[in-house]
Amino acid sequence: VLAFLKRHRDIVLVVVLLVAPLGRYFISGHRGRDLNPVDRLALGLASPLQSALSSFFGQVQNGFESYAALRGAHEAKQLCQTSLSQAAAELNSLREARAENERLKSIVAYVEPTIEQEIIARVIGFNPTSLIQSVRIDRGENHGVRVGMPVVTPEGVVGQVIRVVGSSSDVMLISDAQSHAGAMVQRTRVRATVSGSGAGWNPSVDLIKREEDLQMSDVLITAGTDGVFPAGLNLGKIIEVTRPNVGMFYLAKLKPGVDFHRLEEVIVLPMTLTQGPP
Amino acid sequence: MNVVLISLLTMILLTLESVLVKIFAFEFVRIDVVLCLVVFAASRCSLVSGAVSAFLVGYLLDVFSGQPTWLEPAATMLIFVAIRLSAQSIEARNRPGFALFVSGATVLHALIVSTFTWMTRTGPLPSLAYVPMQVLITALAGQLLWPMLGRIESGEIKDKPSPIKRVDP
Repeated sequence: VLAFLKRHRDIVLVVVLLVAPLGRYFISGHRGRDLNPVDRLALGLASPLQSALSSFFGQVQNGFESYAALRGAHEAKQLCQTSLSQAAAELNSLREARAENERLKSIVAYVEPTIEQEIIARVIGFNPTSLIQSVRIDRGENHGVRVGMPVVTPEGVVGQVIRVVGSSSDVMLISDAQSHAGAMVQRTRVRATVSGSGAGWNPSVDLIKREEDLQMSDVLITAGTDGVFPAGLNLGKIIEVTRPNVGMFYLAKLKPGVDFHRLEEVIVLPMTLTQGPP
Repeated sequence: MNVVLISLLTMILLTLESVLVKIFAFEFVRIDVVLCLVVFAASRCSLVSGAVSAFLVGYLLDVFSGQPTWLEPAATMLIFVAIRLSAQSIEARNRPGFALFVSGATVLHALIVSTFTWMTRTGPLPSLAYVPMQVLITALAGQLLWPMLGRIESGEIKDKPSPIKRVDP
């Protein structure tokens, strides 16, 4: 046997390099493995370069966009002024609602959950493979980021941290096929599940019974029932809804509130926030 | 030497690609640029250095994927073997041949990843609708890399001792 191995050592090496990862993959399946020092070294070396490149290309892109934006600046200004007036009116009514809310809270002795420090991070890259929809951010375990933390922007939910190294982390987007989030239709308070479809950035909305009321442009928010995302965050709007002839549930698609094309800065929320109000 | 160069190039290309995907706002399409390196390793390197290079390319791709599962090293090694066998009958050392092999490798990679994922995961699978576009831009990226790969290959030829004995007059 030894003589055979010695004579065919090149072919044996190729076979080992082929069979070893294949075996490991079928044993561990899709669960993934923990990072070893080599992985950490590779990611540690790549992260600063990714950050620098992202910053450079971002500045170039901003330069072009700023130039292009100047062409319609006057019209945009007028539009902004109109929107600002509308927003001011809306803000005033929201202030009223908040004051009322505070009064009601004091009546029922509602206790605000303790808010730990949120972490602001910059998106420095996208996953180079299409198997997993994820982005890389420039904050890692050195900054307090941990696996499982929810990631959001002011527009809504981005995803969840799935891997952390020294100074960077990977965030699985809600559009990924492995992603599931507990949701609620804001208008009707009907519960649902938002799951990545694996065929685009618009996740599917599952488990809404056909008897319920669901309409186009209904806004979905997080329900706070999945143990990951705190309640009340914007998930997106319904853009496709079908009531099938057979089956118990609606078939619906969601347009995420966050535009993944334009993801720049994100907020990593502490995990204590995922525990909903008492 | 080739193994180190290809590994370094893989890291640089993966870093660059992750930023470019963000800039160009690709939804599912990816530039499988590292497959060009696997094709190069299979068609223009020796068996051992080519196999080790292909494995390392897959390993790094796996690490950069966000959820390493050993799928990518297995896929790149399967592609390496397929191209190594095919390159015996089809010329891969010229530009058109290289482009053809890169396109084939991109399709094969998508099929391997989808099949293996289907075998091990429940729920929806990544769509294959993006593959034609991916083939196109990966082949284009391969053509851009062609001069650099030629230099790496000439470096390897220079490093190797000539098998022909010199006869002094």
